[in-house]
Amino acid sequence: MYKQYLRQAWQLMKQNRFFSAVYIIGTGLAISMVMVMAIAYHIRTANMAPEVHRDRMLYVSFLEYAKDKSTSSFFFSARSAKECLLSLQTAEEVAVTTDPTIMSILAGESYARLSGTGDPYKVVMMGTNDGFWRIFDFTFIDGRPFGEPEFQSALPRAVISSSLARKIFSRTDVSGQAFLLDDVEYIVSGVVEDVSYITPAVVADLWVPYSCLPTVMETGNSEREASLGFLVGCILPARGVSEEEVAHELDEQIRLYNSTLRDGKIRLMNGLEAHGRHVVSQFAGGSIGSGASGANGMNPVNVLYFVFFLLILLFLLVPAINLSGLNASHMQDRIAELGVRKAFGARRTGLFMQILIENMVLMLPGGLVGLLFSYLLILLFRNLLLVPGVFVMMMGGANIDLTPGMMLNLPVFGYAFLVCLVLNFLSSSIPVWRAVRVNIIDAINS
Amino acid sequence: MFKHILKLIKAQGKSNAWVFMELLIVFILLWWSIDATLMQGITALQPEGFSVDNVCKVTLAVRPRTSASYVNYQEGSEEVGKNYLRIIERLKMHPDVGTVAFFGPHSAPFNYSSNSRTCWNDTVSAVNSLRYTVTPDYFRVFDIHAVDGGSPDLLADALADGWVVSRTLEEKLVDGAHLQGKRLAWDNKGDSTTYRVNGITVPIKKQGFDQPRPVVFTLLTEKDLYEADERELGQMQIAFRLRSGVTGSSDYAASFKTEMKQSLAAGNFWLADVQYYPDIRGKFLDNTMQVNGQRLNIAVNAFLLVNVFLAVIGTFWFRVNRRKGELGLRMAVGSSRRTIRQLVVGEGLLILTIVSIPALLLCLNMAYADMLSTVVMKVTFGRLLVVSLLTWGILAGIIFLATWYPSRKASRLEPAEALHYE
Repeated sequence: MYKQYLRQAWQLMKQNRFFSAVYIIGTGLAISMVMVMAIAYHIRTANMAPEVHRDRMLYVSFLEYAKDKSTSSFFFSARSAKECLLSLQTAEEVAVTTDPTIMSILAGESYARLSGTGDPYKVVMMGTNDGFWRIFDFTFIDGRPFGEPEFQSALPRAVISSSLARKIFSRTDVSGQAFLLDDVEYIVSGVVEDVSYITPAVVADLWVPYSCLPTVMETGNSEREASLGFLVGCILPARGVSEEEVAHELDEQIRLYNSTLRDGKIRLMNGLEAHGRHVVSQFAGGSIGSGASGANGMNPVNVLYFVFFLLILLFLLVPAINLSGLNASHMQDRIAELGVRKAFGARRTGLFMQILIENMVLMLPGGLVGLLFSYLLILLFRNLLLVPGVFVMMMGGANIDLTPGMMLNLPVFGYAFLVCLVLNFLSSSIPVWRAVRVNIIDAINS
Repeated sequence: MFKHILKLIKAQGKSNAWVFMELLIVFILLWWSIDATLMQGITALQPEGFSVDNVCKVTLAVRPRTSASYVNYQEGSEEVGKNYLRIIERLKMHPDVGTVAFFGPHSAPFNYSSNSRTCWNDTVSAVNSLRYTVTPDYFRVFDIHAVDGGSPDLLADALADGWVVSRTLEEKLVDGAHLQGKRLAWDNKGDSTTYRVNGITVPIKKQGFDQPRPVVFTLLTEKDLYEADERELGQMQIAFRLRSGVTGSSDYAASFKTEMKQSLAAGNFWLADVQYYPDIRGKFLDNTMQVNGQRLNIAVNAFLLVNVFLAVIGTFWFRVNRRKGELGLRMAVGSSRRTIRQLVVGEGLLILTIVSIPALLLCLNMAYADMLSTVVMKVTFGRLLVVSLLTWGILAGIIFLATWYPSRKASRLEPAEALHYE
């Protein structure tokens, strides 16, 4: 029976070439727009090496220090990170890193060069702890990451990306070699494959223990300067531990930390952010204090969700109206045929389903075209879609390595098929239902 | 003809409903985004107030304390500031260099860091303004002129014992009345220091795609240099304008860097980079929210317009097919092929015009509800008219394109053949 439907649909497609072409382009367009959003969503939220635990990861960033009536907000300092984050019992692993963008603005750019006469190269430098290498899955070409002993004793060790290794040393098997980072000698402990802005939590050209960085470690004497700093955290909860339990322990740690302060108090501003929320708040600009427990007005993250929802609706609704119009015109031509079928005993629901399936068949090539077109759009708009806006703005463009695996995978195809189904239902149901309801006699007469 | 088409549209009622609905939505969305685009276009055409052609930016880096070659100075030693000035002097000595200016980290054009303070006039009126801390040569390097046409040299002299402010500040603070010679202050307590306004510059933009903001230029003195520590000095910006006759480029900046690497180092400062300023400008503008937003805007609108095209071409194609008999009859009783084409195209355009009435009502409501940005200009009748005409025009163009093929098909019918269908 369905084979019959399919054959009939194919015949109809061949007969009405113009209609089929318009229909396929129309669906392709609608699907490509929604798919662009779906693919961007997938690339930003699915587990992707080195960020292989995105589904479980919790992020902490903005910290507020309040004393009397004055408040200042920034990230964690080495001390507050050590006492509040690194000591978490409910976490399987905690990565504490600097934010390279903010660091380069506030503490100056970093330059790496070969000892002696080498040319300095501007680099994106990230200070990390040793847990960073256990949470994130980097591909080492040479050597190994620095471990806890190196981190604790602040040994100048660095993991560098293969492209930086090629720039400085002209080769990649360089572990054990020395180079100068801002005129301080570091030893290469490992070389990793390049990471791009697709994984914004880890992107850099080289990674060093943050315990080596004077800007992070040498804080002022005041409580405020000792509590606020350049560090952000990624927490991987232990298996079987819920987000609430981690949040609870973190609150407790912050309370303990506050009990050691004499003048003021620190407070976590955006709370623990799961990956999806983290991405959206970065998209919103991640401004300091955004979404601070919804004190006044709407939470910008929720506003953004609403905007995305409206966009998807728009991208689906306009083409759906479009295709409905086409369907309505097309149906008028087929009312006579439907009348004959009905006269021979076909039921309304049967006819309805048949035409819906026919349209679905017509839509699938459109879906394929749309999916291909959306890949093109993703490539064109990758700076806008795949990278937190702040990076692009501050860094003046960002390198993005897209691999086929990011776009050609089951979830993406699944989204595409789902969008086809929804669009088909939106665009066909009303015109088709009206057509199959026409009285038999009127239908045959028409 | 007009009335006749109206009757036709009415008769087609139901099958036009979908086209009506789609046109209504697209008209409103397009209207809104054309307004936004127009405002951005106007902003982009406004002068930036300064010029970066033939200007290069020099970036110094500071060796951290952990470095083996770190030179230790006593706290409060003037040697650090002297080292910085040594580098500036050596830079000035280069034969290609015309003027050198250095300024605070928030005082450069085309970056996101800014320092804003409230500027008060007689404790009465205040305006939030950008504070640029600069050496007098800043005006020569960036070729900033006075609002009355005065040369950069005049402004440089004016900075010596007072403030130089931008025309925008004058407009915002005293509604465009003259500020020249008046005294302004950073706060509104009566006893605070006031500064004499010695010069007014043209309106100055900070980020290219923004509106000019009020700017206060204050003098960066040698004393400030000696009081700053190495890290603060390292964040200061240095820019130089090439002597006339020398043309700058990206390659020039790169070779300048190689040439001066040795001599532009003193104490813990060393030369990290020399960039050609137009490159900085280009890269900055290419990545602003405005430009990226504009690209997205164009993509969304292209999507909407293609949809309209498909809807109209699809509907009219079917309609012409179905009305073959009627069209044949028209031809048989003397309609020319041209009249038939006009009939089809006219029907499309008339549908648009009918839709634009409720659509414009909704748009005007949007304008009335303050949903249009008034940063660039107020919402005037002229602005609404231009935007509405543009919207209608673009949609009319699309509809004309979309009805062209069906109308051609209709006019090519052979009357005898067409009448077969009756």
